[in-house]
Amino acid sequence: MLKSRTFLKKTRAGGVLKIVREHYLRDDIGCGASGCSECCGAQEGPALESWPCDPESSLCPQPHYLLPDTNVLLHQIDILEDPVIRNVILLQTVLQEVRNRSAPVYKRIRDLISDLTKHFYTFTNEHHRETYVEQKQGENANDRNDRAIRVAAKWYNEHMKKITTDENHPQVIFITNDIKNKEKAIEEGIPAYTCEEYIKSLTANPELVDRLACLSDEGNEIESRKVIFPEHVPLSKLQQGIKSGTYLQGTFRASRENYLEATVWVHGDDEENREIILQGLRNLNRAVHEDIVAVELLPKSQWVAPSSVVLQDDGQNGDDVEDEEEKENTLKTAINEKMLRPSGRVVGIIKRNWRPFCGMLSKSDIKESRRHLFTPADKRIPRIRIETRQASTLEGQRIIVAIDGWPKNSRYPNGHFVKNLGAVGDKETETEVLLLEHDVPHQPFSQAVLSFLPKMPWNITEEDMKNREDLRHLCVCSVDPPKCTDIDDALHCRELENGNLEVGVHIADVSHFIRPGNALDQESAKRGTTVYLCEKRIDMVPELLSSNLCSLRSNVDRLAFSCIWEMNHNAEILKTRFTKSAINSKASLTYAEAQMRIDSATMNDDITTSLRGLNKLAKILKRRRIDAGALILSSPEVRFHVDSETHDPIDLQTKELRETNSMVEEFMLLANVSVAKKIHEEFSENALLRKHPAPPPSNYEVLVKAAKSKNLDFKTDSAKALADSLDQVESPDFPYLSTLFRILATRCMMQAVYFCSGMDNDFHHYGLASPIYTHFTSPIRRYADIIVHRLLAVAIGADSTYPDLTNKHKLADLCKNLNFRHKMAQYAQRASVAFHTQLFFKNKGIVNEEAYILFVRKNAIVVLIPKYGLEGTVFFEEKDKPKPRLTYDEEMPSLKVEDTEFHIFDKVRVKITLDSSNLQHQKIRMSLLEPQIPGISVPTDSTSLNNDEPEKKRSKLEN
Amino acid sequence: MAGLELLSDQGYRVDGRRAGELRKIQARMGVFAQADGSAYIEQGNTKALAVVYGPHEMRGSRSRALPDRALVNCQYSMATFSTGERKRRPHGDRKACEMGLQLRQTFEAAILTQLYPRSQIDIYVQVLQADGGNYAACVNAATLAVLDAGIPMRDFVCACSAGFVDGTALADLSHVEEAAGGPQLALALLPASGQLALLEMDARLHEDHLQQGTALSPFRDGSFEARKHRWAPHRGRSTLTVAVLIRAVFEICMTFQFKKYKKVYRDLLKRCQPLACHLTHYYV
Repeated sequence: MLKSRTFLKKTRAGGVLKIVREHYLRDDIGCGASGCSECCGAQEGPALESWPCDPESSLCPQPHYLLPDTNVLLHQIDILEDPVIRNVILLQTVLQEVRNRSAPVYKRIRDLISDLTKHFYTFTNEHHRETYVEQKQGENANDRNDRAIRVAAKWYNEHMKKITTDENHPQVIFITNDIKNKEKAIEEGIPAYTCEEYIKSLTANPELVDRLACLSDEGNEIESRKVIFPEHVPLSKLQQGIKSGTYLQGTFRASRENYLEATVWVHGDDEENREIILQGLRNLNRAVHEDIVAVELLPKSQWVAPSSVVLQDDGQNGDDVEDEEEKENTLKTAINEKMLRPSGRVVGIIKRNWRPFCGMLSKSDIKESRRHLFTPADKRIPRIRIETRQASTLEGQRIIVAIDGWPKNSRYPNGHFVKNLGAVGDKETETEVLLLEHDVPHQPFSQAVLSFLPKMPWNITEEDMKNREDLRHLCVCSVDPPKCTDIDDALHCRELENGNLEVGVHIADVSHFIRPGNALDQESAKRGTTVYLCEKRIDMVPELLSSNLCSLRSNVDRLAFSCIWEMNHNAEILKTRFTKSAINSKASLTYAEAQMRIDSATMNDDITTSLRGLNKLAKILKRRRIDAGALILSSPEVRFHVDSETHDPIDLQTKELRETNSMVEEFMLLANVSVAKKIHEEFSENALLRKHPAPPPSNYEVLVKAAKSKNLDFKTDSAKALADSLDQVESPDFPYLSTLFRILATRCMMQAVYFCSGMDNDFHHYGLASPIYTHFTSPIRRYADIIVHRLLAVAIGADSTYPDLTNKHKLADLCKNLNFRHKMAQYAQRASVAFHTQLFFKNKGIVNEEAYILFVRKNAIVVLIPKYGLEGTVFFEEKDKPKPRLTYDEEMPSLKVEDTEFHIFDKVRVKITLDSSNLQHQKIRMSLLEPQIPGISVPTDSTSLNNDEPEKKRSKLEN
Repeated sequence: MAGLELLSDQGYRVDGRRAGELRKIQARMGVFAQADGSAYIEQGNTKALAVVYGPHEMRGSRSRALPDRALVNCQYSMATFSTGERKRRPHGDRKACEMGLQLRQTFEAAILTQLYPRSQIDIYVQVLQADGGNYAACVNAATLAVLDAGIPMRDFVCACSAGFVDGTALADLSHVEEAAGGPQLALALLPASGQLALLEMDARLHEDHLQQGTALSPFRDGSFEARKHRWAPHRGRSTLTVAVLIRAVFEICMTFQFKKYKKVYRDLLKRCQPLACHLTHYYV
């Protein structure tokens, strides 16, 4: 049957268009119930169970299917995801509405539909002959959709009656939270309940109630409660405002250090990506970190400067706002005019970016209360009020909570409990938390993924050797950190007959095993990178590949992708060649072992001579690179010695750098650059490259100021100038100064990113001073390298191309994901190091150490302890103590506490203790020992005696 | 706002069709008395009118006359009211010229022009309502009009368009689907012999999709393979979805009820088992 849908639409120019679209109605759409005789099996995909037996409900004892409406889907998705809820009919009308309103929920629903055990069925009601409804005159789209849903529900119930003669036939229960809709449905004879009624009736599963999102609050809460926040402006008005320029659209970023402050990044078309400062609860107006918001600029007279104050939200359950106002005032201190920055207030939310948050419950003081505050682990997220009956069991546990809404009369957003992760402080729970918080996919690989692994025992076959060179006779060896199991690179160097040197870099041929498009490939692309935590590795590819078949271990035949150069003794490249190959590594060395071989006078075997040749060339290459302006930066890195039994860290040590580290690095860089050139030559539009943009000059301000205070003149206009400036930092009585400067310079840099060559025209890599760069050398742990391998394989004719490889938009999307994953992996790594540092100091008790000041803040100094590579903040203000006299000089920058002045890079002594007063954020606390300031610094002598009672002594300098 | 979902997870398109299904087709021949041949066709909301005059003596400049065959003169136009927005379309704009040229190529391949040396055959087509697949509708209308005029042809020409969304080929695109901007392919076929009269694509498409198409192609072992290369000299300019298209074209033939093709079609269906055709109920 054919229906035409006709509607009018206004064009951009203001004209009115009449649009006519065809709409076909079908009679071959099945109801989805397996074994339904009426629909003669005309269904596809996962079907509903013919006799849905669970869950047991006291409201409807009959077997039943659920048919939720749009709002239930949008708000109660957590419930639907519970394994108890099965056999759900999703209407096309509902899905379309969800799709238009919330992309994340839509994605979750699609995942549910594809999960065969859940028995979710999508009924295409809009194209079914009997369930299609036309919009009536005077009826708005929402009402029509509601009616369409009711019609479909009714059809289902009648259909069910038809297919069985049994009295006890399955029912279809309509779930809606809209009271009017429910009444209408019952009038029409459809069994309908609200979500709450239904979930509460599930006798066997009372725990589900906690996971209900609380939405009803807004309506029936005591009306008289004070309105705290201004009303949000509706979306249509926001759009108008943005168009006319009265409002600005941007991403809301809450400050980590101060809960009353946030910035909004206004995304404009032009380059001036402006930042707007928001201060105070009312101006923040219920925006949550990462939301897309509309802001209104305040008049210039009300502009504020970013405060350097650190503030934490520690108010109790109450909604007292006066307190907050007082705090807000502390932000507004006398500042000179220059510091003022554009300030604004949030007028409305364009898009919420809420996700489930990890954190802990702060139990309410009232014992019987069911309402509690939840404190997220991420300090940028406000505390969330949840309702739960299991508060006592959840106390001290890490839990996940989702936000449901934030009414204007509530100080905190409302949410509901989702999942319990485990006890706090437990190593596994904490790891889980930091993986979840950083969105690192860490589930074990699914069967579908594992099915694409090669069968063991694996051998190189004739087939594999096609298009592949046999290099097994070469004396190849690998150099890696100790205990490394995923060896993805190996090297060789030999003298040719003509006196030149042949140098080869051999990279594991992962793309041979991971074929484009299959589940294994998709999973690796999703993971993007291997994440290295202190005691654990989250693999990008299954272990069989990462630690065995792809790992270039010694004395076994392995497939490789080789990049082979012919060089003269001055390390000038004469010829470059790429080939797929088979190699047999003669030795897997650690950096230390390789160094020993090079240095030892007695060893003269093939491997050692090869290493010496490589080392010699690497030094020349490095020299040349530095002359070209490559930066040598530094960041304090630590490595934990872990107890083999308890896996507790027993010692930590900053990473040592040997000549061999830089030798391997040098050749990897060379290979990456060579490959980048080759793939860009072959695929000018869709090569995957890596760039490192030059930082804007403003980034260097801190560095230049710091240099000035040391009487140095820093030039930062080019990488070369910066490198030279950094080199001139040499001070005989302060050898660590150079490292400090390099650490500071690292903080000024931009993030290096992957991109698709067809989508960008600036390829320059600032840090390496290379005009073009890519990642080729670690395909086991980075997905970008796999793509580069595939591109290179096509370029040399060793493999065939496939559609997505030559599609630059797909590639750009991939780059976006890879960049995100890399950033998250880095954060997760840091968080893991931080957690282990805490464990370490927990065992160690109180330590006194030397430290250097990295930054000077308004009420604190940030110090770095070189011995542990640890960074921490020393606060000079406390809540219930008399405030010391603090004079902060922005220009220097310096901070004068009482009579002592602190400058950047000053040497101090600090006491390190573990502060576990806040269970959620256990942290390393530092307090000042030297220079001594009466009333501020802690006495030196008392510390060592109190090792067993650190909690009490330490808390002298809380903020 | 999420964009339009062209193909739902359940396999339905925006208007409720499945991937391989055509729109409803209705056609009428002999709509004008004064012309030698005429036809009107509706493919869904795409409506086209074709009129044929000739063969007759050369009009205008006689020098254009061909010594060995008839000249096929095609003119394509769109009515001002054919699209959502009213727009005057002068004769001889670029789009119309190109379309006219394509029609001419198509019909020169089909009409036995050598029977009428030094004469002229005029084919005028006008799109009354444009809703995607204009070329295909015009070819189909013109074929019927040529048949109506009684001009001998090798075989009648039949055309259809197809697009490609998320790895699935969609037959007979509507305007919404065309506007989404994916690769699109038009094919005109002489169904009895399986010869191509015209194959056109104006987008890049990966070779693999071509192979996916041709692997299912009923002409894998026959004449089609050879022609594929002639018509698709570049990697990207090729037939993603040949099987779907050809099937679509044959379905159109079926709706014209030329019984002679039923057998060809049945054979064809047998050979494309993987795509087992789901005949719909919506045809006349």
